[in-house]
Amino acid sequence: MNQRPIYILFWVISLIGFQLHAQEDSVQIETQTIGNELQDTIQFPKGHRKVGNLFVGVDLFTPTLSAFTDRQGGQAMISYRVYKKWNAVAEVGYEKNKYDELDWKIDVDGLYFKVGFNWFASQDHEDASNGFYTGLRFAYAAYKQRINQYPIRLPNNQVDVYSSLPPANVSAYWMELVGGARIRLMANFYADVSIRPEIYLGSKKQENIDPLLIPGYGKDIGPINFSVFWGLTYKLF
Amino acid sequence: MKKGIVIFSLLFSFFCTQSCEEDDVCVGDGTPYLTVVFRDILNAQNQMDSLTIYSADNINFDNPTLLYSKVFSDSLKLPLGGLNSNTTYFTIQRRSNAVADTLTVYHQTISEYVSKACGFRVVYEGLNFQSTENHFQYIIPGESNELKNESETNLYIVLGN
Repeated sequence: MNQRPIYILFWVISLIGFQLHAQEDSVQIETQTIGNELQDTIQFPKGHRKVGNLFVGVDLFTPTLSAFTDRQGGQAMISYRVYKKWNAVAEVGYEKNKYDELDWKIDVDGLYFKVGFNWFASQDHEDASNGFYTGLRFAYAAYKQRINQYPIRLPNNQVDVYSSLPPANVSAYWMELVGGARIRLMANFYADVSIRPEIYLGSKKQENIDPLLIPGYGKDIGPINFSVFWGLTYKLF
Repeated sequence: MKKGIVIFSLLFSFFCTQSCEEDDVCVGDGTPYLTVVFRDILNAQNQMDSLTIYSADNINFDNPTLLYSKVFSDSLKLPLGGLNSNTTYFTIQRRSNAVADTLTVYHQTISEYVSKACGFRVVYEGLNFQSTENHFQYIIPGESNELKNESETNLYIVLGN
């Protein structure tokens, strides 16, 4: 248990800088190698859980937000342990949302897909499925955009508001860096919480208009955005 | 301990979602003004004069907008109408002359995307000018009949005596 602060430190470091992360990494691999060798020969005490391979889960963050905001939708994920600490992850979600700022009124709804991996930086020795991880996702959203109102600026900088543009099918893609943790709640249920700095890469636009709101990405407010995943996952095996 | 970690994660995630400020300042090219330059009687050089200018969207000048009041200048920028207009009217009064000249600008409008913060702007094509000749001798349109930026003069007005 007294290793927990070290785990937290690892996680924070992995979020802050890759260079620092790389240095810690070599130490971690060495200890892990020894750990794996021990695992083959040592009998673990009763109650020890082996690392889970296949997890399925749902996000609780977006459904919770749906009660308070215009953002409606949900997200499901599947994670499979491919090799040692490496887990392949695929996520799919649906989001319906409204943008109503800066004199714009936009409705979007559509699906988004994310694929990538999680790498466990630390694992609990009582339950190897518990731990802190970092990861990476490549995400793509294909959605319908309906611009109900857009602003037009006149020479005197007044806004002359006009509506509207016909609905269009557009798409966008971005990267997500992932930092998170998975902790067993009860039986085979785990809480899987992660935060993700998102880096916008590009999009297929409607009449050159930059996307202001992308399902799965959020409001496009600059080169970097954040999203959150509060997952409830179930270990299949 | 587990609870502590979960609470920490939730607080951290709230902090992250709240810490992003929106960039909502409109910086960039807005809708361009019409650039008008006043020339002397021989069209030899620019002529400074005291000018009062009103604009309106109708020839009767109901609800006119005062643009300049006795401004001493040889070059002024005039705003044209919005997306749904195709004609903008100006009265240009030299000094305190009783009779002003009326300048009529015909244009086609096109909306053009600028940025998220600014939205769209209006650019003008097919510029065409007409004026009375009370204190104006004649007018010379600029080389281009498009108005997309303010880099060149769109209209020269040659003043009389």
